[in-house]
Amino acid sequence: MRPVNVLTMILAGGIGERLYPLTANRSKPSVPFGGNFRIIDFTMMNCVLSGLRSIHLLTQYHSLSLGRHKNARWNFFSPELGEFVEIVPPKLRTATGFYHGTADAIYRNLDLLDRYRPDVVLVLSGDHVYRADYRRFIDSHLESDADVTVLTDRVDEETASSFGVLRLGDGGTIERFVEKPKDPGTYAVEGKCQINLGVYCFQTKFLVERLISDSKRNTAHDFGKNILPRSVEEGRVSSCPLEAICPDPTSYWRDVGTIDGYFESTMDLLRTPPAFDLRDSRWPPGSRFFEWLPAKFPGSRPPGDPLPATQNLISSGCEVTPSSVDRSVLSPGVHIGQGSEIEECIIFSGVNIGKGVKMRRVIVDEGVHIPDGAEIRDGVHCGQFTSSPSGVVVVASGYRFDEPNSPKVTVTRKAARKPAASRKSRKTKSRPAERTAS
Amino acid sequence: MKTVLIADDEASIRKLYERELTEEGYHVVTAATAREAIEITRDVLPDLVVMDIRMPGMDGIEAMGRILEENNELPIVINTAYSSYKDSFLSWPADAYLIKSADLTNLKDAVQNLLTSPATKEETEKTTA
Repeated sequence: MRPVNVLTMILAGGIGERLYPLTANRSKPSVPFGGNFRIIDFTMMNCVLSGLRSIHLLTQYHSLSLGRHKNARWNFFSPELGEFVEIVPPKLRTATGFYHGTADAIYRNLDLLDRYRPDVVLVLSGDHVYRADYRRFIDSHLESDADVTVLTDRVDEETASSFGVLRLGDGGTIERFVEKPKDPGTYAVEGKCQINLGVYCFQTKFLVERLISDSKRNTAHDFGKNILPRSVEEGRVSSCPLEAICPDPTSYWRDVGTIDGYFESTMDLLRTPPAFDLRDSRWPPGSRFFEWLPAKFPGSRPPGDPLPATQNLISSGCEVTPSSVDRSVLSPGVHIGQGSEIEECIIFSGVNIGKGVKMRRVIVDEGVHIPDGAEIRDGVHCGQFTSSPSGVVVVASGYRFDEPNSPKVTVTRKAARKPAASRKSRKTKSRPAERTAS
Repeated sequence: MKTVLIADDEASIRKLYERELTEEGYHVVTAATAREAIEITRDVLPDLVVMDIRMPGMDGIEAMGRILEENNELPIVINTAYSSYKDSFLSWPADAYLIKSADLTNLKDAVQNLLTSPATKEETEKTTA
């Protein structure tokens, strides 16, 4: 990367309503992911592994869990070397209330830009899972001589309407920017649309001018809806494809904005090979990043079984008694009782699962105790569990099964997605001898 | 008649500006502090604010931010004895940045220009049509 003064602003205040109830008591970037990570960790790792150590985390909703996580995990920055990662809640000095949009979040922190006077400002989202080398992104920005560079990717036009869609001109210049168009096919080339991934590198002066100009208009004060379309009209906006700055052979980017998206992204970790490997090839040998990595236990496959091998991710401190755990992710300190059958589940920290529990496609939030014999799966709504459109059931943090008015524990499944025989064959039985060894 | 709010902690400045801008045909109201200026913008709804920066208590930059939070279309002229704030991003939301001078030509020009901006002109034309 060229010698350039970079200030990183991570937008980490997302309320994450579509991830509710996982965001009932935490912000979206704080939602656990991959057992021992939080969603914010992937953006933070991208920063640190790109040599960026001047970072502001702009928070607002439920920032306590994010603050705790930052203090516990991202505490190795050296102020003596000018490094910092600072939590920045909304200042109420010149404006009141929460940020009115992503652009407003930066506008109301102009004092930080004024204090550090960076050459460029890297604006990132704290709620995406992806891997990128921001040094190469900034290099791309500087080489293009653009006012702002946008990280982009290509997706099928059928799925593009939920993103900001771009039309590219010569040399990667963005000529048109439309947020969530109803007719993305208009912008498709060979069935693919270029989309905005919410990662921006701005020339500082250009950013400040655009933010001030936008602040004087009655807009949504949003980068995607307002700042970028106007930047295309008033400045030079370049695109940088994700694949050009991805350190992995295959690029991966997900906005885990819904329960189904979150569930599918987690299942991506369990494929063989994984669509997204938690182990980052950039980690220096012996670094603390390896300590965060959950252990990966491959599923045992019968000879000749056509189904792909399965995986589990098991974090530190888990206690799995003789039971069946298949295609699941266990955060630290999870206990699974004897004879339980856990399939395609995401279990957060400190969850205690009793004996003989059967769960399929369930997310269990922190600290919940699942009583002996409970059966939880999609099919019949029992009143107090959230169920996603695709049938992922979420047991919220703080849920108590033993209260007098609690719903029926057993939830029958009327139509499993796969034949029972297939599901059974994919289970990994842990044996007493293996447990003793672990 | 357009209303101009003068926010300045120096009484002599307020008096001078009030007299000069009144002669230019504006209705002038004054505030001796930033907080008073914020209150007046709520009560009087001026068409433009001339804001000093260094005042006892809240400064003019902070007051500008609060005023723009409530009315983001209100033109604000920063009028200060110091040039050092001009490079600060925090002063950039102002529509004009002037250094105080005994010659009020620049101030009068800035006020006139901002009050006859394209949007204002359009509004005036609609009213007179």
